[in-house]
Amino acid sequence: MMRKNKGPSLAKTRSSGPALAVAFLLAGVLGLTACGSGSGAEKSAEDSGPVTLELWDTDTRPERTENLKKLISMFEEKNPSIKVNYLGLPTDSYMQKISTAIATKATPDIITPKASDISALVAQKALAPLDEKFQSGGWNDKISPAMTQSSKAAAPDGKLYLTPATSLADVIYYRSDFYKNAGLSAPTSWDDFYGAADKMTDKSAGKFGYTLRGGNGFFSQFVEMVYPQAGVDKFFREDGTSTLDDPAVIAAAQDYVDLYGKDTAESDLTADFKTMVAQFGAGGAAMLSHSIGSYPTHVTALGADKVAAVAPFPSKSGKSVLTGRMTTGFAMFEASKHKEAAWKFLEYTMSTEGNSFWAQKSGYLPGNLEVAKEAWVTDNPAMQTSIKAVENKDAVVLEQPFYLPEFNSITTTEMLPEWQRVLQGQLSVKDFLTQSAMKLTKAQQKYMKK
Amino acid sequence: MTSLLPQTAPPRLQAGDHGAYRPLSPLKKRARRIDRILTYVPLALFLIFTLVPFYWMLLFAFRPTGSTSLVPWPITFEHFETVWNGSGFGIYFKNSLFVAVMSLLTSTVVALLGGYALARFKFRGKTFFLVAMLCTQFVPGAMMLIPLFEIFNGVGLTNSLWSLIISDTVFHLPLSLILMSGFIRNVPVELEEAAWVDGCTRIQAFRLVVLPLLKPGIVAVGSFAFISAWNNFLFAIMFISSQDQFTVPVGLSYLLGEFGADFGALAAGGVIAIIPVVLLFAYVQKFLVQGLSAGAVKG
Repeated sequence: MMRKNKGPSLAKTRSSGPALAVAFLLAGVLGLTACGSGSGAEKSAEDSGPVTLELWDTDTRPERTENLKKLISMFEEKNPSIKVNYLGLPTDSYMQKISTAIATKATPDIITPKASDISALVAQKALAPLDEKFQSGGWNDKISPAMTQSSKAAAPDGKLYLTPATSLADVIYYRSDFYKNAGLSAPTSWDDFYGAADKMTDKSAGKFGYTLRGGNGFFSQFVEMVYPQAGVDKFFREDGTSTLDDPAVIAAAQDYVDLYGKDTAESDLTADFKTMVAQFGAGGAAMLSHSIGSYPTHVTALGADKVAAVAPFPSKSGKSVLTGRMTTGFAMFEASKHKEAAWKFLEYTMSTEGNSFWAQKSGYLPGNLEVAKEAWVTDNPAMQTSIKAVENKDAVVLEQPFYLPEFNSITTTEMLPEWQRVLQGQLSVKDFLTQSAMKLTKAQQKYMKK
Repeated sequence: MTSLLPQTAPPRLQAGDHGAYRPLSPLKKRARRIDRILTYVPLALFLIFTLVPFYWMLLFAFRPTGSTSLVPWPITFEHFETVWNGSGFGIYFKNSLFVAVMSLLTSTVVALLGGYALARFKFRGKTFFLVAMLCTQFVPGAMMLIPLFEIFNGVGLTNSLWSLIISDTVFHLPLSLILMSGFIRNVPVELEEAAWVDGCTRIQAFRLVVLPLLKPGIVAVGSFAFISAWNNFLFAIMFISSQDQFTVPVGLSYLLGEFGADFGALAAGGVIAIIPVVLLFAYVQKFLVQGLSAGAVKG
């Protein structure tokens, strides 16, 4: 009978194990070193020919990639001595790549960070301030002052790191065909909005008046729907305490939360942006709160005749608060070896030609004041809504405190599970907002002490 | 060479074993029916739960944009064209295939050699080595990103598919080694001894006697290596900074933007991404089950 090997007859005791291990390691290291002639990064730095810039994009999508590559080729045509290498990073994991690049000193020259990323990047001293270049280039007069201000406000030190090339703004999208069929006219007040959400909900048919963001990224929709309704135009009071626990904010938040389950799908509890867009595009929801950046997506899915947009409405007291005015531009890494060339590219994205192309193709509000007068801006209903809202002299822009290093973690990781408890009725709106306000207050007061 | 395996056929049931046909009593019939319901209904529900996402993917991949039909008709290949040509999936697919196949080969070869050593030799620190191997499995890949990046950058392997092959192989190796040593230990050593008596060297005995018996083990280890390399997103996004060197998982993530998601293209990309894995499993599943159970029970 055969016996399973215990190995006594064959087994040999090897005392040369450590020596072999060392030999193996050495061989491995030598092997790797042999493969390592010429790092790409080093090579590009040593090139004596035309300057090559590395650009990393943080919101890669097929159409955006195509547009950004076109923008790059337009720039390269005007600047034949500069070549720009494009690298698209996935929108949900780009920060990990950037953090690794910063830690290993392998950053590119240009990046397209979100305003909410600026604080973390500045804290690591990764970005180059652009104030001097911006001023000496005369861009103060050519770019929207509001966008420049918003861009500076995103940094903890108030400096300009992100070019105010383009901007986003929050709007409420609605299905104009559904409104027409229901005999409703465009909403002009919060009462209209809530009434329409109720009227257009038909649970048996799987149709809901609104799609509420209960999952990832809920806070931007929360702010868009609650702060304008409450008429509160600041995140913090003078003493650094958060306005999240303001009675008007709590009351407006309660109205917003009450939509869940009544005029929204139950599954909205975990809905992120992609789910909301899918639901809106498939006719499952009549209204959606989001930035003007998604307008092209809705038009592609539904057709321009079925999508309309309005800015969040004034509060009952008549105060108009504008949200989501987030600058989206380009930034330069401090470690860039080609800062002059990189600045040339950044300037191009703010120039009439570059800005017009980039803003139009991206669906963003242009930062260049001349471009803002072009027909493609005046003809776009979502943009017109946003521009008209700004033109209102009484309107106040609510700046989110992206300069707080803790802001992202508080409003995403910490608040999200609590928010979902609120939607499920396990936590009161007041308790949720009071607790969250305490966290934000702590962060703001710490910042103020510095 | 004569076969060294004992020729044992599975025991056959004798004609009378089942006994003559006896009609079941109504009570037993009913119990059997309930048994079947209790077996098949949960299985069917589970199957629906598992297959619906796949159906969703196929539906969106083959349905024209804007359609709300619940069947992919009229069928369209526009999304496949978009992702293959427009989103560069052709290149990503080629890169992924190269990385996965090379990881499979390197993992399997090293696991065979290392596994043989672990199974057949006694050496100082063997237990420590095995425990260390197991311990490496508890370290998440994300924690090793910066040191790995530094190493690959130092030796000029960033932006090279070899960085993915090496890291995938290294991260997968402990499991492969442990699995493979279990498979090799299950091959009776007397078979090798018999081969040596017949004049084989150790390598010949391994190649001619042990290796054919390790087919299920090789398939199990190789499949795991292939799938883990095929699906690896983290290393691909971290070690590669050149668009034409990215792999399928990175390409898939491109189809989800901050302000838009092309679900048709995403689904088509998903179909492309699962094709090699499905084909691989279709071919190796019988070996895989056999291999895993052998390793699990006796390893």
